[in-house]
Amino acid sequence: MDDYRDRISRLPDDFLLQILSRLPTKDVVAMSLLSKRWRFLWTLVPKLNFDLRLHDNTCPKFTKFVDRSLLLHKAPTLESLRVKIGSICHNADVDVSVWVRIAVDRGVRELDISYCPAEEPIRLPKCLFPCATLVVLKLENMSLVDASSYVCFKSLKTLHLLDVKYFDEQSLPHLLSSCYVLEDLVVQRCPGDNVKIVSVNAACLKTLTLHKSSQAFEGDDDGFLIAAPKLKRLDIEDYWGGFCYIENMPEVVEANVDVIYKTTERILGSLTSVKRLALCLMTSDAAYPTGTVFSQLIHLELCTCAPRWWDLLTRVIEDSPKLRVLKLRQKHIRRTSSPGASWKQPVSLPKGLSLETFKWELYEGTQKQKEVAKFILKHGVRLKKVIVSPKPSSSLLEKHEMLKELSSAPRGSSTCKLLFD
Amino acid sequence: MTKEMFTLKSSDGFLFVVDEAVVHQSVTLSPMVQDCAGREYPINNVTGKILNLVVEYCKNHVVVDGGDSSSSSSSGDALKKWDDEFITQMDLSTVYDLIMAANYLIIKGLFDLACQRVADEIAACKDHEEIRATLGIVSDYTAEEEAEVLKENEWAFD
Repeated sequence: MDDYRDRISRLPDDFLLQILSRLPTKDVVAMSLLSKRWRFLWTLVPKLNFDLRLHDNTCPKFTKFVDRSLLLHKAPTLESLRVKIGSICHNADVDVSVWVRIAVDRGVRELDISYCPAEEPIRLPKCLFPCATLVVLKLENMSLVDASSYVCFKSLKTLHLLDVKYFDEQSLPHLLSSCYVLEDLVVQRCPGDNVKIVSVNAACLKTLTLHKSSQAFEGDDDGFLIAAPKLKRLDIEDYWGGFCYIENMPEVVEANVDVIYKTTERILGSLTSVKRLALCLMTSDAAYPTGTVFSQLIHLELCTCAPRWWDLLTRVIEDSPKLRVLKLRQKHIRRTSSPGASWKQPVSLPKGLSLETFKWELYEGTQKQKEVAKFILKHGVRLKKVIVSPKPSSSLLEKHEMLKELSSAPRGSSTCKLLFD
Repeated sequence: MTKEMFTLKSSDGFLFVVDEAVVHQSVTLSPMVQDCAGREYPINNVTGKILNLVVEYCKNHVVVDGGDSSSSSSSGDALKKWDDEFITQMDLSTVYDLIMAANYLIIKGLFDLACQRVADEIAACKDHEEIRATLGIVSDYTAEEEAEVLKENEWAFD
C-alpha cells in the first residue's frame, strides 16, 4: 500500500507553504530538487528567512542569495522578511537598505532584522517609517536616521528595539507616538544611543519590557516614563541607575522589577493589582509607599542578593494578604551584606501566614537565612510544600547541617512537607 | 452548576463528549454551542483516531479558572512541554491528518504545532535525499530535468 508514502504531497499547496514558511529560505530553495511538485513552491512561500551563518558567514555569497531570492520570489504577499547577520559584513548597510525597500514596497507585515551586536549598527532607510502594513517590527543593532521623517506605523502591534541607536532625543518618542495600536514593546537600550528619557504613552499596550544592555552606561540621570493603563505584563531591568515613573496600571498581572534605583515608589506604587511579582531592589523603605496593599498578589519571587533583602520580604509579606507562593533565590552576585543587622520579623498576622508553597533556591544556611526559613516554617499555618535547594558548592557536611536545622524547626502546619534537594 | 456537554461524532462513528470550553477552541464548532447541546454533531471529515487527538489537545488548552494564560509564565512553560511531547510522539502520517483536521475545525494553535513538527522533521535532514526518504517523496524528475533544476538554482546551492 502506498498509503503512507508521499502522504505529504497530498496536502494542498497552502499547507505545504505554511510548513515551508517555518524553514530557512536556503533550505526551502534546495527542496526544489525533491520532485516536480516542489520545483517552484519556494517562490510562493509567504515568509522569507535569511541567515548569514547558513552561507558559511561569507557575505558576498549571502548577499547574492538574498538578492536572487527576492528577485525570483513571486508570492502575492510577502508576509514576513527576516534577516539575521551574525558576524561582520562590510557594506551591509547598502544591501539591507535595498532589501527593506523591497519588503516595504511589497506590503510586508513582519520585518525582523538583526545585525551582530559588537559591530557598528546598520543604518535603516527612511522608507521604512511610513510603512503602514507593518504589524511586527524587530530590529537589533540598527541605527534610525532622520527623526523628522514622517512616521506612520498605524498597524504596528509588536515592536522590539534591541541596541538601536536613534538620531536624537526626540526620535524614540516620535516613533512610539505614531504606534496607535501597539500591544507589545521591548526596548533594550545601549550606550551612545542618544536617548535620555524613554517615554512610553500607549493606550493599548499589554506587554512592556525595558532593559539596558550589559555594556556600561555613563551617567545615571536617564530614565523611563510609562503611561500604559492596559498593561498586563511588565519587565524592567536596569543596573545602571536613573529613574522610572509609572502611571497606575490597574490591569497588570505579572511584573518583574530588577533595578538599582534608590526608590521604586513610583513603580511598585502603580502595580498594586499585580498577581505575580519578581523583585530585586536596593531598598526596602523606599520600595513602595507606606499603606500600599498588594491585594491580588499570589506569587512572589525575591532575589536575595541585595543587602537587607529580608526587610523587603517583611514589608511585602505584611502587605500581601493573599500571598500563596514565595520563592527566594539569589539571582546576582551578592552585594556587600551587613551580617550584624537584625531582622524585624513580620508582625504576626492573627491567622498566620497565608503561604502554601515556599521554595528556596541556592540556600546557604547563613544566620539570616535560617532565621527567615524558621519563621516561615513556624508561622506558615497553611504551608503544604517547602522545597529548599542548597547551593551546589556546599559540602555534604554543610548540607547535612542545613537539613538537620530545618527539619527540626517547629512547623505551624501539620500538613507541611519539607523537601531538601 | 453543571456544565453543558456536547457530543461530537467522527466520520467513522466514534462519539466524543466534551464540554463548552473544548468546543470554543474550534472556530468552526463554536457556533454549535447555541443549538447543539444534547444532540450529536457530525464531523464528517475527521476520523475517530484524529478527533481523539484533537479533543486531547483542546482539553489541555482550556484556559483555567478565569485567569488568563499570561498570568503565569511557568504554567505556559508546562503547556509548551506538553505540546512538544504530544506532537513528537506521533508519526508523520498522523501529523498530516492533524493538520487537515485543525484546518477544518480552525484550531490555530494545533495547526501551527503540527506544521512546526513537519518543519522540524525537514530541518533535521542533512540533504534533499534524506528529506525525500523522511517524507516518502518519490522524485519524478528525469536525470536531465534534475540537472536543469540544479543549474537554474545553482546560486542557492553553493
